Amino acid sequence: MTAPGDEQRLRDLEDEIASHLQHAAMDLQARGLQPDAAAREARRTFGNIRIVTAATHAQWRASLFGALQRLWRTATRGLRQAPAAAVGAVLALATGLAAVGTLAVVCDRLWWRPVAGVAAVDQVVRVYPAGFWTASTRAYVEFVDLQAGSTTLAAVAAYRVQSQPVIVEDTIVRARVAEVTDAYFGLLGVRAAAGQVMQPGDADGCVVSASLASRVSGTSESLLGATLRVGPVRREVRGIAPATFVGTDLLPIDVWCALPDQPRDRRSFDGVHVIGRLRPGVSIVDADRDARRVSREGWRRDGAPLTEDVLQLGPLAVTRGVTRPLDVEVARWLLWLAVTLLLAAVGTVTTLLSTRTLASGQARAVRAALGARRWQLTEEPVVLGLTLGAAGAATALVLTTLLVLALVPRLFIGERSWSLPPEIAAAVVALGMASGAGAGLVAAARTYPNRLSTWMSDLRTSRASAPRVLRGVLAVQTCISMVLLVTALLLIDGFRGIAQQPLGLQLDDLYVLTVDPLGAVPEGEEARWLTVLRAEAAARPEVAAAALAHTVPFASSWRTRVHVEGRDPDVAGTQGGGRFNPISRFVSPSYLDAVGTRMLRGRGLRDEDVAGGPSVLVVDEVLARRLWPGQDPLGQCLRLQAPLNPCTTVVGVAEAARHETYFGERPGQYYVPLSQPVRGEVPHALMLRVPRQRDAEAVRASLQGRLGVQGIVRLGPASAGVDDVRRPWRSGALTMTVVAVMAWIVTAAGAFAVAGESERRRMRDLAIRRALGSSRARTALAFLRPTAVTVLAGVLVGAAASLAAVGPLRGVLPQLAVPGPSLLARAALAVMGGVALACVPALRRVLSREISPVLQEP
Amino acid sequence: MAKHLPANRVELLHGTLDLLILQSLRWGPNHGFEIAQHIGRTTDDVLRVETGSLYPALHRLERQGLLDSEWGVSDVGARAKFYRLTTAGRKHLESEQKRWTAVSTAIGQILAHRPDEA
Repeated sequence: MTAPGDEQRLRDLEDEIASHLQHAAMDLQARGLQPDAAAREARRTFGNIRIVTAATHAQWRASLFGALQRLWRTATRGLRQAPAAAVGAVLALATGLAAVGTLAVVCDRLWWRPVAGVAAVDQVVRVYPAGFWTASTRAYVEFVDLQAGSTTLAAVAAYRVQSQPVIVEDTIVRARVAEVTDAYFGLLGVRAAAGQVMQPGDADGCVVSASLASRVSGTSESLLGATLRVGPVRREVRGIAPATFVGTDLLPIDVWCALPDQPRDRRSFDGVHVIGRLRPGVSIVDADRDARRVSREGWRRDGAPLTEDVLQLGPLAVTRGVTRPLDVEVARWLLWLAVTLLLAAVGTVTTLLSTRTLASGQARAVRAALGARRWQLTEEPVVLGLTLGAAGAATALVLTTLLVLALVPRLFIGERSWSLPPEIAAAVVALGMASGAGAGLVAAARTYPNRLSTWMSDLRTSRASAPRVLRGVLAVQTCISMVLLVTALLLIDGFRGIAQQPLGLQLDDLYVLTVDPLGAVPEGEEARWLTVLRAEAAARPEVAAAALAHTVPFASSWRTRVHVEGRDPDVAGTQGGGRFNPISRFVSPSYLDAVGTRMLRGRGLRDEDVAGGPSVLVVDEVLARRLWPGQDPLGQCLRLQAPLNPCTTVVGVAEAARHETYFGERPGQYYVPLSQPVRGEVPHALMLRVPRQRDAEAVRASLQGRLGVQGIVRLGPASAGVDDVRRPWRSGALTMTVVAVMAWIVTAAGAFAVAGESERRRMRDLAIRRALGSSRARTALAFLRPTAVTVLAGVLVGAAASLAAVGPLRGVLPQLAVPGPSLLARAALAVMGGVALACVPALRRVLSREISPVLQEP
Repeated sequence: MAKHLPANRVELLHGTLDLLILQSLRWGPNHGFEIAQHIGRTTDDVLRVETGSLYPALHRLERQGLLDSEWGVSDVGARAKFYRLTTAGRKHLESEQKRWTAVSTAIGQILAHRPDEA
């Protein structure tokens, strides 16, 4: 196929050659030859027209289309000749790139990207606790001290953030509200997109984010002057923040309003975030020194001189206000892991390309001897590398997008949507192309022949060193895979064990309903609402059970001491009126049924158990065993709160249910009717069992309608509490599994390359073995042995490394088991299985190849 | 040294042929056959230009902007593609001529050199 521009040129050249032949024939005729003889002689002396045409064609400047076409042919030819290798290389590269891309998205969000919308952000600093770069809150008095005493900060501001219900134009939204001091907007250099930012002393105004404004009213300007209610306080919207500015933390702010004066308790750090702007020419180091001085002076004034500093100053976006700094550390650690994975993948692609280039060594040597240019000889591996890089990058983009959308929100801060920024997508593509081109160049450089006579010696040298290099890379890849697989399996086993741990609660379709009052409410009003809402919910067909509770499992707890005459359950064998402090649950009669806790003996709480009636309670089996070991708990007397209080009779025993902690010993708990409170306990939550998840929102909306604008009805899964416990395990298991699978793919691709190289290098050796009568099994063994030994070495080193790595991991997750032989064997089998699969194509070629043609090859 | 010989030889031939072609066109446009004939006639057939070298060289020089071409009718009334020097080609020819004269003079001096003349 010829490029469009070349066709015209070729016709022109044909005409030119025809003209040459015509002139030559006429010249010969003029010298006396007959026309036919002259034409024949002219044709003969001209030589090979095809060669002249080809040689002339080679001088033309290739059109862009022609060049692209040629490169495309080179690339597709390379891919067609070894499709399995191409797929392996693309997968390996895509895996490494996707891992790097995904972690780059996380790192970018957590600490690379500067805070948007802030003028000269590098001049803005934040106060951190000494020794920690976590943006935790500081005592308000530290802000006051810095504002008054700092000589290096041009401005100091404080703010605190709360998530709370806000009413804007009769619309109730849950918003993140920042209360800020006067200097806040000026310090950050933020001007309102519409209206104005709050002026100093303006306690009644507020600024809303562009996002909230468009959510509520569709346009920004229409919200100006509107009344906005934050809790009980009414404020007027003075301005709309620019769309680029969402505060200085990772989670976006929706509303900014004035921060009232705070208590000046120097020892309370549950206060405000403090930020400042450097004076011109002042470095952060100088400002930090100055801030420490101001802090020390403040403590000394209060009569408590510091023995060591309690604060430090640092850049605004060290952790971007992340409340879980572990995320940053984990992301940073995983990024390095991903880079290692990418390097291993690039190593695999390089070995695949080198193997392929070595295989075409003779053809390249002949071309070199015939005068082929350096670029013409190196073009093929480089173009093939670029093509693999492009395919790998394209696959990686898809993988990265999937991981960012599906995996990252589960692992890192999930309150905000994640996306793949175009800059990182472009970087992934560029990295993919560069990796491919680099692998191609290395492959070309390793096999570049100077001339035919030196080619074979070069080839021999390459052949001698190639197996060692390839096997070394494979051993490292195997070792990495093994460590990651062992860790992943440990976390999966741990997560499975934790997820299956009996809780004594059926959390699957259980919801917790609470009410956020909008404004101050009279005492007992919230309890009255919940009682009304319980009756309303119980009447709805979507709700299987509804019960009131004073505390919620894994969310809140309450303990009331109990007294058992003649016993001290805390000290075994001790007699006397001791005290015991179990968990006390004040619930409505249907509670145990609603949360799925089974009754073991006796009866549960009933509607007849009312105030003024006989005091009753239900104990769980743990408490029953501890209070009355070997005795029947039913009918026993417990005195709640004080030893002289009246008896409360045990009417039933329930199964042990976890309430405060997921792990560890259970302190025991008992259930008392809400109608018989001890210290004025009232319901704070409604437990609802809604079998179909899709009905939950309808139930909430219906109850919100019943409550009106007195408060916001919130409904959340009861499993939210245990999710906090399970999340690190699930995140760890998921991340390590994904990374381990990626490493496994890279290892398999590496084994594929090694097997391919080994096949070509040992082709004659193996053919001779077979010719001498070696069986297929023996030939296979001889072929696989070097790779198997390499992999086995990698597996053993990996197993030892993973045993060593578990120690530090158990520091973070104490429940993590030590890998046993079974787990190590599973990981080893997975690694070796992948390697075995990758060796199959080469092995099949070795065993199926005809022997004699191989031996006849030079 | 030896392993670079083929590349040097090709380079030398290319350069020489280019000079001969440019010089052949110094006095006016000509077509491929006549250029080859002119070189042969002028050197008493010592130098013969093969078509396999002539046409690639003509097209390369045209690509480099040293020659320009257009179709016309030759002295014998046949259609032919005529090449002529461009301004850049003329300048290139002059500089190459100077270089060639310097090189050939130097080589001549070496060949004419006798030890007793030192």
